[in-house]
Amino acid sequence: MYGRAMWEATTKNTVMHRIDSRTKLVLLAFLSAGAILIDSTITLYLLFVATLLGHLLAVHEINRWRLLILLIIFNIWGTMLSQSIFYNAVPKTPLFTIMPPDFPLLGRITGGIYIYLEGLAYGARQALRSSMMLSVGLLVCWTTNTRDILRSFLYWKMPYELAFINVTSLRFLPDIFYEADAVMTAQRLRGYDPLKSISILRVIEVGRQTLLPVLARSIRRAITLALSVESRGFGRKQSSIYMEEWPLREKIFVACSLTVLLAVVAVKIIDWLSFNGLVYFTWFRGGYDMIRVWL
Amino acid sequence: MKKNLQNIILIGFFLITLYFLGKHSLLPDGGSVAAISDGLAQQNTGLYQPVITLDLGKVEVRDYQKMGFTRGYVKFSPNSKHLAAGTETGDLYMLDTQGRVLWRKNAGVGRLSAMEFSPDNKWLYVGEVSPDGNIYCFGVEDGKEQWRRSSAVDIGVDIKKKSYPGIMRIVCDAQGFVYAVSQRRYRESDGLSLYNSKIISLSVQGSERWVFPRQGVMDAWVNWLSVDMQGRHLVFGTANFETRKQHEYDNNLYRLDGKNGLLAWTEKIDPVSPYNRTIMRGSPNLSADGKYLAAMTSDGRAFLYSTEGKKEWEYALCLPKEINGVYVNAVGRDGYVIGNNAIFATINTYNNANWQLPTPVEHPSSNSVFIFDVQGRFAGKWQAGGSVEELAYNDKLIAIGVGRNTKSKNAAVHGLTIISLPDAKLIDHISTTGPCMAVDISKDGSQAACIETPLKLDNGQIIGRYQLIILAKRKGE
Repeated sequence: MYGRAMWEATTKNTVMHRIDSRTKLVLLAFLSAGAILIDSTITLYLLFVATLLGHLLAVHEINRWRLLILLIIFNIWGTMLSQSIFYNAVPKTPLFTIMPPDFPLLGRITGGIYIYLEGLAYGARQALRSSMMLSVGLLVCWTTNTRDILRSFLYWKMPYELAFINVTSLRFLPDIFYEADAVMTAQRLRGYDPLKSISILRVIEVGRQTLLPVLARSIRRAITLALSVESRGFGRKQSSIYMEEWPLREKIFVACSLTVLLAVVAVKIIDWLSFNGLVYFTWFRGGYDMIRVWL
Repeated sequence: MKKNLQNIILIGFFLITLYFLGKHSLLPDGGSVAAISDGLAQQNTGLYQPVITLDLGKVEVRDYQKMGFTRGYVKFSPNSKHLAAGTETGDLYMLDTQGRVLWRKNAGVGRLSAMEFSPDNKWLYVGEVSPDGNIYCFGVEDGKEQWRRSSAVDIGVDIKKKSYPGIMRIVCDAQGFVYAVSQRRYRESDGLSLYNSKIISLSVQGSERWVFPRQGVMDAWVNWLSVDMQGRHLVFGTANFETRKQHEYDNNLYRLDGKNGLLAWTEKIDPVSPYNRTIMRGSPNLSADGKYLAAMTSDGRAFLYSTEGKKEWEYALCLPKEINGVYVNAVGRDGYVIGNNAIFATINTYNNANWQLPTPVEHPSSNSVFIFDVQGRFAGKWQAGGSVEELAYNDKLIAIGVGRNTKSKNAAVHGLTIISLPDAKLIDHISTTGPCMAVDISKDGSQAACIETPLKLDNGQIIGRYQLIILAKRKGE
């Protein structure tokens, strides 16, 4: 398992580290919106690859790459395989048979279990969506100090309490991973093998035995944190937060990205209106065709 | 060391995953051309050798249960230097005779429904079903769109009910004038399934010459039309399936003046028992000189008319037969006049009460091509074994796309069959694994092309691929 430091931002002098935290947060928000709005596999793939290029520019250590790759691989193949088996739309083309329909008992109950081609393609699209969000999330997490994130929220006039909750949840996420790791290490030292069997009951029991201590420690930490921030006068009127000037180049970049996002929202609405039979604009035919390929 | 190896394996696996995702996402579906060096499946005489295949991408795999099947379009240019292919997924390919893809387009929100070259080989006219129901004119060499005309203005569109207009057939005369039939299906609140149709004639520049009817639309199912080479006559037939409504355009055969679109004559063909309607789907067709027209009704009757409207002769080629209390019928579809011969084709056997129900036997005249001379003398018959999905011809040869046999379900019959005209002797048969749904043969007979489609068998196995196969005649023959 990975240590606590693995989940925290590093201090480096790379392009990704130098970018203003506000720019990174805006891009994170845009890409998250794009992951929901965009249906085109081509565009999702290109955006996903773009987030990986961001990681390359951030010059991570090998351990971080290893973690990123592991998470993405599990996400992609897990989603594709599950969707290819449980794909429920038509048409569906069986690629190969896992269990033939004439297999005793289970075959008759399930009507056969197949890997469907269309399910794989659908799963790939969903996996690209979640992998893109995972990748960009980790990129921001690994290259941006939580203090800068808090300042960015306050710069945008977010209520202090809300900004504090957001940053705290982000800040303590590595701790939760670290504690889960510590609990599992403690279990192993006592000779307990949590992954000995994959029966449902066993999984529930392992989950209970692992998550309960993590939950208990989280509650304890929350109480300590609450007492700590209250004793420092949490919630009183804040003085203005100092932030460096938002570079003009980045502001322009963010404005352009916002324009693109708004344009995507607009054409998706136009397409939705047409698809649902509400209104069709003949002059927008090229746009409808473009949406089929790119959006 | 062990960790380094793990990292290398992990990164390698990740890059492979990225590569396959990229291949799936970025590369267009289909479009890869492959040369065939050792022939394709078994051949009968080997006169025609498959030389090139073009992968047409992924398509829904259909089975024997439904009457409709995967479509495809293939057409040689009149000078045989280009080949256009259209797919069910809206891809349009233009190839040269070496099999190189010159350009490729996609219909976007539209679905391809018709295709025709101009007689001077410069333009390709393409029809689509979409909210616009456009007919497009593309340059053959560069694929550049010259013009488009919407048929939504003619026959309407109902976006809410997804009732879209479509160009169902396009033909050209020797002067290059374009004739097209547009059609739209809609359903009324009482469940009636109705159609609007209109005939459109356009100039080479895409300007409207005339429309039929001049006002309003035909309340009839029309998906076929034909003109003679000089463009003097235009004929079309109707297929009104809905029997609960009295149609204004209730006749079966119509001939228009090709110059101005005025109605010259019309004919009602009485139905035969047990039917209550006469339906035409792949006919009528005029002879090149405009003297005759051949018509085939789906109840199995073949007709030859003079252009003036005189019935020259009529044959019952595959009339419905009652067997064990069930009427079985080999559906008649195509009718052409080629030179001095009239050609008719039938498809699968169906149960008249419900086409989805099984039939006790196969109709003896099903899946066949019949050849007569224009005097009505029988010249030859070819039993294709599977549904005659499309006929293409030149002066001496007929190419037959052989598709599913829904009764015997014998997949061995699929393929492209070439027979001689007029004696219906086998020239060659090129087997395809899946049903052969579209065919064409070049004017000089040196090349043929067909589209194979995948088929799901009753045991779940999928056979065949969605691909274009180009065949060349053996040199020196």
